[in-house]
Amino acid sequence: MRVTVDQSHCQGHALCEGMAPDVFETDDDDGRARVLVDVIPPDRESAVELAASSCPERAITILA
Amino acid sequence: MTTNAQVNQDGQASVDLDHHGADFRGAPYEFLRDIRSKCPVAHSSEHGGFWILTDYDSVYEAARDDDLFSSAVSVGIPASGTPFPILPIETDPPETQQLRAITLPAFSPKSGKALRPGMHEIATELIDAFIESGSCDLVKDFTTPLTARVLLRMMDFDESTYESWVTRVHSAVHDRARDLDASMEATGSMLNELAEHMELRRDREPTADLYSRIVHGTLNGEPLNETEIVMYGLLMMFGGMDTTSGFSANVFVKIAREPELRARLLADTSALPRSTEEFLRFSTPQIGLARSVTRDCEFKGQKMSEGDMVLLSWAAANRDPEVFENPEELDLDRVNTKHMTFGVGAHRCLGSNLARDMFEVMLEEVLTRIPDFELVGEPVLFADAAEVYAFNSVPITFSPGQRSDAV
Repeated sequence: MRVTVDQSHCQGHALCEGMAPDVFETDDDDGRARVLVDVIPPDRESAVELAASSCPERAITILA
Repeated sequence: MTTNAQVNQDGQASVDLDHHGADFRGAPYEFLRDIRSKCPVAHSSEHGGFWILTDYDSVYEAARDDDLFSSAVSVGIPASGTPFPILPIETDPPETQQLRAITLPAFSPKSGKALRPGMHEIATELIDAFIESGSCDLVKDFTTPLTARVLLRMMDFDESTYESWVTRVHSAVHDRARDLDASMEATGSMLNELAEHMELRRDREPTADLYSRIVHGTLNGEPLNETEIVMYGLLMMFGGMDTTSGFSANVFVKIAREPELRARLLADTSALPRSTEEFLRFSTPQIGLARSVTRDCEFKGQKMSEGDMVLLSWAAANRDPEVFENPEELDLDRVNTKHMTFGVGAHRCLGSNLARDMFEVMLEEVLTRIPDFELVGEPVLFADAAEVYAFNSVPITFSPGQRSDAV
């Protein structure tokens, strides 16, 4: 599993970082979320799915 | 309690609701539940007429549709009464995103975490001031000064002036429907002071504090003008000095009234952060915010007209049984944490991470230092619950303890 954050939609709510801090981090300068890892470890996939479904802007896309 | 919520033969839903009134304040969730169960999207003729949305689905959809539901007129019903829009909350995209970007980095999870030691420091100082006496007012002596001082510290304003700011914020928010003059005077006084601070900072090099970010902020490539700067600064005060304190007070009252809840929290303090989201869902401080309809339309079967005001009730959505099982129960093991306490969409609360940090610090400090606190008499709610349903005075007693610097 891979995941992307659409920077034009992200508003920095940071729910994803709260749910999967090892995968998402809000940027110090613009406050928007970045993806920290290329391939999501299998044991973190459910956390990432939860983060994606919780995003108020629906800015997170999961790529199989 | 009666709302007369009903749908007429033409399918139009109506309700008797004055959300600023004493009846609503006495039992807001009963009103909201009654409306949601009978006609979740309904029209009230109070305050010039407005719609109220009470189910999760409607609130979610409206909050994410800035094109149909604009924030630019006012987010209050009746209108907020400020001479200019409050920024960025009373704007629409794409300006909203540009304006939020000015302060967004200061509200990141990392920024909140970095402020935590300072929050603990303030908490320690505040509790030290009353812990030997065995009594205090948990709102006036603790939750209000803590949240206000953290915000003033972030703004790089003089923390010791917090009482003057808090008094004016409370008047601006809570007196609005009952004493507009007092509310306007409080707002005007804050804008004047924000303008003085603006003058002081304008010619200085930008710094990382909130107000410097705003003073040096831009919109559509142009520096913010003086009005925009002070109206943005005003929202920082509104956001920082009312809701988090009120929310924390609501939770402390709940804990005081439920021995099992207190026992559970005390038994496992490591579980506290996990409980935050359910407390937020259950003890929602902000009942709702308004939008205005931008064109004639049909929404959820109701005919709305251009210019109609619409109240999106986060608190009602948070207790929608279609989304939350046993919504009237506080359940710290609840899996679904998708509450709308911070709103949703482009206007979702800027300070949500900071609010969580402040709440968690306050909960931890109280449960550690005055774990056996008990209510003295009835805690007192703010006089107006339309926007913020929260306690404004919570007198307590507890076993006296030692100051942190006692030897």
